[in-house]
Amino acid sequence: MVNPVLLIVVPLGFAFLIPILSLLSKKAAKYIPPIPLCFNIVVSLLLLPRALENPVVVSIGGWQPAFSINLVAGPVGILLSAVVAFVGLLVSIYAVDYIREGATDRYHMLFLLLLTGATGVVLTGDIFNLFVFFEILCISSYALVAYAGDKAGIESAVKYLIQGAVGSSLLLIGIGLLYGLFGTLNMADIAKALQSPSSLPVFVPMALIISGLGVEAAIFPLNGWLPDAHSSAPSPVSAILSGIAIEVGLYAIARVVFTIFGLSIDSTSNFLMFLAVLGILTLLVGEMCALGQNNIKRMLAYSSIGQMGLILFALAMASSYAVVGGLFQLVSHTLAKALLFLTVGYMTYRTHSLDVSALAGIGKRMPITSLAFTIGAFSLIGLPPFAGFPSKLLIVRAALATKECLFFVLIGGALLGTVIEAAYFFRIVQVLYFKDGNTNIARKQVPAVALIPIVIFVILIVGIGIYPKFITGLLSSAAAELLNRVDYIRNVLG
Amino acid sequence: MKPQLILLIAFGGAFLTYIFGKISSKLRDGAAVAISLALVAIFACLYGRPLQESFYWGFLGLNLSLRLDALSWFFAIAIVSLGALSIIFSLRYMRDRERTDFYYSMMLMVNAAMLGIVLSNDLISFYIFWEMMSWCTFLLISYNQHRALDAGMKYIIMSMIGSVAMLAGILSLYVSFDTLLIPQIASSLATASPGYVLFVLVIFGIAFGIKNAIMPLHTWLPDSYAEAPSPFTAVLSGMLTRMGVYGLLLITYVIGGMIGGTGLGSNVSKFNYVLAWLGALTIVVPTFIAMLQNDAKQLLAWHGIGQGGYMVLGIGFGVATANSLALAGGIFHTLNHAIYIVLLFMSVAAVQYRTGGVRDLNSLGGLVARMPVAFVGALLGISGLIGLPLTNGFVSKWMIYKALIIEGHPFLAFAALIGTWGTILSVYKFLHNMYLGQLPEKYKHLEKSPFSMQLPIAVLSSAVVLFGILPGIPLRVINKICTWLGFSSLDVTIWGFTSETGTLNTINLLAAIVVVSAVVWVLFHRAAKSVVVAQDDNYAAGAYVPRDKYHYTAGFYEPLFTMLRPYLRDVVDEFYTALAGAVRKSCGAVRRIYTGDVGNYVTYIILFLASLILVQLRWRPW
Amino acid sequence: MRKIISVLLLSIVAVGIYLSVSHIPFGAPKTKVGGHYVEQGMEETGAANMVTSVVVIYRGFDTLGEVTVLFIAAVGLAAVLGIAGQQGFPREPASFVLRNACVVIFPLILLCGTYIFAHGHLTPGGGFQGGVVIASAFVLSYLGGRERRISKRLFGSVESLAGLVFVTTGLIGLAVGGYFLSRILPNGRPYSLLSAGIIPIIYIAIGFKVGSELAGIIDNLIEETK
Repeated sequence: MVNPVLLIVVPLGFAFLIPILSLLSKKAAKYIPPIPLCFNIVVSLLLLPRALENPVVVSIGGWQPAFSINLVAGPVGILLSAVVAFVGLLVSIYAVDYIREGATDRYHMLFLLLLTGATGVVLTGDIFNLFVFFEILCISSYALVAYAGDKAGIESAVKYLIQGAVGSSLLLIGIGLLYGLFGTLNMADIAKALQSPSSLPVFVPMALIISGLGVEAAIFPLNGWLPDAHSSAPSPVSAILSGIAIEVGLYAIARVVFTIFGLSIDSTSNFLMFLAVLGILTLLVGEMCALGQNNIKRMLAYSSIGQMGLILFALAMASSYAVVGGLFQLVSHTLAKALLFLTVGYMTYRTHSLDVSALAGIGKRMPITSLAFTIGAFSLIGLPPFAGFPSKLLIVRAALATKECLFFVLIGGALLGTVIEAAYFFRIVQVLYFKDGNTNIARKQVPAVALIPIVIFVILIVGIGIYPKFITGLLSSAAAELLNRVDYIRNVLG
Repeated sequence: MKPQLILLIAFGGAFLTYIFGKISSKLRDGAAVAISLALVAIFACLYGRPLQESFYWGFLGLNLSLRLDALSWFFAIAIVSLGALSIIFSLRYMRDRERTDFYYSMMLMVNAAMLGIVLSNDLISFYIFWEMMSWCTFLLISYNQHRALDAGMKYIIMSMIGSVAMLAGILSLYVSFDTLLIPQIASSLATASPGYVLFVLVIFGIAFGIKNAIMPLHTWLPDSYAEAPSPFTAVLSGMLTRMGVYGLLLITYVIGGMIGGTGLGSNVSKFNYVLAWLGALTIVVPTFIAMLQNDAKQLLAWHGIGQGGYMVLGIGFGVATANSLALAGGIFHTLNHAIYIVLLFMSVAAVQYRTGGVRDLNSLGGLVARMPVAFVGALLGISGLIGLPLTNGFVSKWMIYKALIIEGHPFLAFAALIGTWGTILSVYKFLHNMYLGQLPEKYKHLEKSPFSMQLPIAVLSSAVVLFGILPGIPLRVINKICTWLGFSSLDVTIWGFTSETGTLNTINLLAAIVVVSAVVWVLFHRAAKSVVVAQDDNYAAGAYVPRDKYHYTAGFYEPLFTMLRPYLRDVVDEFYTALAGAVRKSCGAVRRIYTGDVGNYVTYIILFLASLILVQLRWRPW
Repeated sequence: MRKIISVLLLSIVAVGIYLSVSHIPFGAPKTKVGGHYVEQGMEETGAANMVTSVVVIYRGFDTLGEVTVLFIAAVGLAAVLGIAGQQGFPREPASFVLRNACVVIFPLILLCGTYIFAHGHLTPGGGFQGGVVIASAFVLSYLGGRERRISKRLFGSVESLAGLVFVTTGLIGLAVGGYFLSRILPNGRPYSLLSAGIIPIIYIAIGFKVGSELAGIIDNLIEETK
C-alpha cells in the first residue's frame, strides 16, 4: 500500500543525500533530483484511483487526526503534487545543463527542497504543518533567487525575504489566533468548530492568514516582491517560482477559505466577492505592468501576476464550473509559464541580455526554442488549440453562468486583460521572428537535455488544448473536493 | 466524404508542406499546389450534397460538429479556389524569399482555418477556427518585417477585441440555452427576450464588424493589406475579411432562420437598419479616401473597405426589410468582390514582382506594353469594381440599387451611387498610373509576368466576365442560401432573374453591347483613316520636352485632393491611436505601483491587512 | 509621514488582533489537544518531558519540517555566500590565555550539549537546544583559534546523515507500524534514559544536525566578515 507521506519524505531524504553523494563526485548532484521526482509521479499516479474514490487520509505516528498531523491526499492534493513533481522533473532535467556556475550541488538540494515544501503544502491537513512546509517553500526560494550571486539577484532576494517574512509572520499570528480560539490545529477539526467567519474574532485570523498567504500567492497589492524576484532568479528557478510556488500559495488560500472558513456561494458572507474583485484587480495590474515592459523576464513575471489574478477570480466564484476552470487555468499556466521561462533562459543566455530588443531575429537562430516560446505565449493568451483556451473558456463561462451583474463586469475586465496580454505577447513573437537582429549569434539549438523538457511541455500544451478531457475528469473531482467542506470534515474526522 | 476528413486534409496538408519544405523546395511547392487543388476538387464534387457530422466529443463535453450546406458550400468553394490560385501565384512571387516553408504552411493553414469556420456547425468550433485564422493571419501580415510589424499588431489587437467579444457572446448563449449547435440555438433564440437578442446581435456585430472592417472598426485594414505579402493580401482581401460577412449571415440565420424572414423582432430590424447605414457610410468615406492614395495596395485596400460596405448594406438592408433581392445582392457581391479584388491585387503583385516591389503609383506607368496580361487583369478587375455591365460587379450592385430604390430608401441608394463615382475616379488613377501613359526608362526592358502568375490572372479575368454574363450560375446557389435563411426565393435564370421587384437579363445587355461594338468597329474602319503622329508633336504643342519627362503621372487629381483632404482624415484611426497611447501611458502609471522600494511594499501588505480589518470592524460587510 | 501611516496601520492591526485575542479565555485549560497531551502524553509516549513528546511524537512531522528549514537556511547561506567569499584573509592570532582556555572549555561545552539532547525526553531541553550549545562550542573555538577551521565536508556529511537518520526512522516506522514515524520501539520505563521509544534516536539526530548546521552557518559568516 502506497502512503502519501512518501511523496514528501522521499524527496526530502534525497535532498539530505545530496551532500554525501557530492563528496563522491561533484557531478552526481545534478542527476539526483529527477530520481525522487520520477518516484513522486509514480506514487501520485498509484494513489490517484484511490483518491478519486475517497481522499486518502493518513496520520503521522498513528494517532487520531486531531492529536497529530495528518495528510489528506484527495484529488486536489494528488493533482497538484503530480503537477509539482512533473514540472519539477522537467525543470530539473533542464537544469542539468543550464546550472553550471556556483555551488551546483546546493542549487539542486534547494531545488528539491522547494518542491518538497510545495508537495507538503498541498498534501497536509494540518494548518501549522502547512505553515512549516510553506516556510520550506519560501526559504528555499529566497536562497534560489539569490543563487546567481549577482547584485540584482541578491537585492531582490533580500526584498523577497523581507516581504516573505512579514507574510509568514502574519500567517503565523493568524494560525496562533485560530489555535487559541479552537484549541486545535487540524484543519478539519477547526472547520467543524467554526461556524461563520463574519464575527470579528474569526475574521481577524482569516484576514491575517489571507494576507500572509497572499504574499506568496502574488495577490495585488501583496506582490511587490514578485517582479524583482522572478526576473532576477536563474531561469529554471523563475520557471519553478512562477509555475509552482505562487500556484501553491493560491491553493493554500483556496483551501483555507473554502475548508476552514467555510466560505461558499451560499454562505451569508460575501467575502468571496471581494476576493473575486481582488482577482480581477490583480489581473489588470499585472497585465498593464507587463505591457511596455522591456525586460523579457520581468514581463513574464508581471504576466504571472495577471494569471494569478485570473485564477483567484475563478476560484472566488466558487461554483464547481468556476473552480474547475480555475484549476485548469492553474495547470495550463504552470505548463505555459514554465515553458516560457525555460525557453527564455537559453535565449537570454545566448544574447547576454534580458532586453526584448536583443531577442530580435532569434527565431532564425534558435527555431525550435522560438517555436516553443510562441506556443507557450499563445497558450497564455488563451488561443486555440492550446491548453490556455479551454481553461479561459471555462472561466468565462462560469462567470456568465452566475447571472450577476458584478461578475459580468469583472469578466469584462478579465477579457480586457486578455487583449493587453495578447498585445505584449504578440509583440514578442514579432520580435523573435520578424525583426532583423544581431547576426553574430551562432545558429545553435539548445542542448538536447534542455530540449527534452521544452518539447515535452509543448506536446502537453498542445495535447491538453486539443484533448482537454485528458485532465478535466480529475479537475472536476478536485473541484468538488475543494468545495465540499462537509465531506472533507467527515473524511478526516470519520 | 466526411467533413472532418476534409479538414484533416487541409490542416494536415499545412503541416506536411512545412515538413516537405525541409526536404526540398520543389516537393513543397508541388505539395502545396496539389493540396489546394485537391480541396477545390473535393468541394466541387460535394456540390448540393448536404453533410452534417459530430466529429469530436472530447472538448469539455461540448459537441463539436461540422456541416455542409448551401451557405458553407458557397463560401468554401470560394475559399479553396481563391486559395489555390494564390498558392499558384505565390510559386514565382515567393521564390528566393526567406522562410518560404513557413509562408506556404501558413497560407494553407489560413485556408484550412477558414474552411473550418464555414464548415462549423457549432459556435465553439467556429470560435476555435476563427482564432486560428486570426493568429495565422497575424503571422502572415508580419512576414514582410519593418512596417508590416505595426500593421500586424494593429490587426491582431483589433481582432482580439473582436474575438473576446465573440467569446463572451458565445458563452452567454451557451449558458442561456445549454447548447452551442447552431440549429438548436436558432430554435431556442426564437423564444428569447428581445433585449437579449439585441445583445447577441450587438456583440457578434462587433466581432464580425471588425473582421469585415465596417466603419468605424476598419482601421486595421489598409495597413494590413498594404504590408502583407501580395499573394496573401489577395487571400486576405478576397475571403478572409469576408468571414465577417459569413458571420453576419450566420447570425442572421441564428436569430431569424427559424421564424422566417417576416417574423423578425423589431430589435433585429432596427439593428440591421443601423448596419445598413453603417454600410452606406463604409461605402462613401473609404472610397474617397482611396482616391487620395498613391500606394497601389493602399488604394485597393481602401476599396476593400468600401466594397465591404456594399455587402453589409445589402445584407443589413435585406434582413431589415426582408428583401431577398438586397440580401442576395449582398452575398453575390461578396463573391464578386472576392474575384475582382484578388485579380487586382495579383496584377499589382505581378508588377511588384518585376519591378522589385515598387507599388508607388507615382513612379510607374506604361506597363501595358510590357505586361499585357497583368493589364488585362487590372482592366477587368477595375471594371468589376466599378460595376460595368457584363462584369460581375454590375449584377450584384444592380441588385442592391434596385432593392434600395424599390423599398424607398433614396439616401442609401444615393450613398451607394456616390461610392461608385468615387470608385470610377480612383480606379482610373490606378489603371492609368500603372499601365498607361509613358513607360519610365528603367522599366523599358521589363519581362512579362511568368506563366504561374498569368494563369491565376487569366482564370480570374474570365470569371469576372463569366459571372457578369451568366450570373445565374452563382445566383442559383445564393438563392438556396436565401431560402435557407428564411427569405423568399428569387426566380433565377441563367441570364439573370425575374422578380416582382425587378428583372435582369444579361443577354439583352450582351446583345446590345455586341451590336454597339460592331457598329463602332465598322464606323471606325470604314469612315476614317487614322494618321500616326509622333507623340512629341501633339504634346506640349511642339515645345521641347526632355525625354522621359513629357508625361506626368504624379499628382493625379491634385486639385480634388486639396479640396477634399481636410474632410477625409481618418479620424477614427487617429482616435484609436490616441486611445492606444493613453492606454500605454496609464500602464506606465500603473507600473509605478512597483516602486522597487521594499519599505513601500511592506506598507502595502500592512495596508491591505489593516483595511480588511478596519472595514470589517467599522461596516461589517463580510 | 510614512511613519505616521505605518503606526496608524499597525495600530489598526493591533486592535484587530486584540479583539480576537480578547475572545480567548485567559488561563483556562481550554485547548482540546493540549489537554490530551497533558493527560495522556506520558502514558502514550513514555516521555517524561511533555514538551518533547509533543515535539517529537505528536508533531514529529513538523519537527522534520523545521529541521529542514534550518537545513535550507544553512545551505542557502552557503550557496549565496559561498560564491562571494572563499579567499582567505589574514587574521590576528588570539592571545595565549584565550586560546588555551578555549581548548579546555571546548570539550566541556560539547559534553554539556550532548547531555542536553540525549536527555531530551527526560529533562527540559532537547535536540535543538543541545545542537545550539554544541554550535556555541565552535563559536568559541573560532574565537580562540582564529586560524582553525572546521572541515566543511565532514560537517556537511554529519548534517546530511543526521537528516537521513530522521527520515529513515520515520520510514522504518512506516514499514513496520504502517504510519510514518510510528513508535517502533517500546516506550520502556518512564524516567529512565532508555525510554520513550524513538525519541532519543530522533533527538540525537537532531542534535547532531542542528549543531553541525549552526556551526556551518557560523563558519560561512566568519568567512564573510572582512
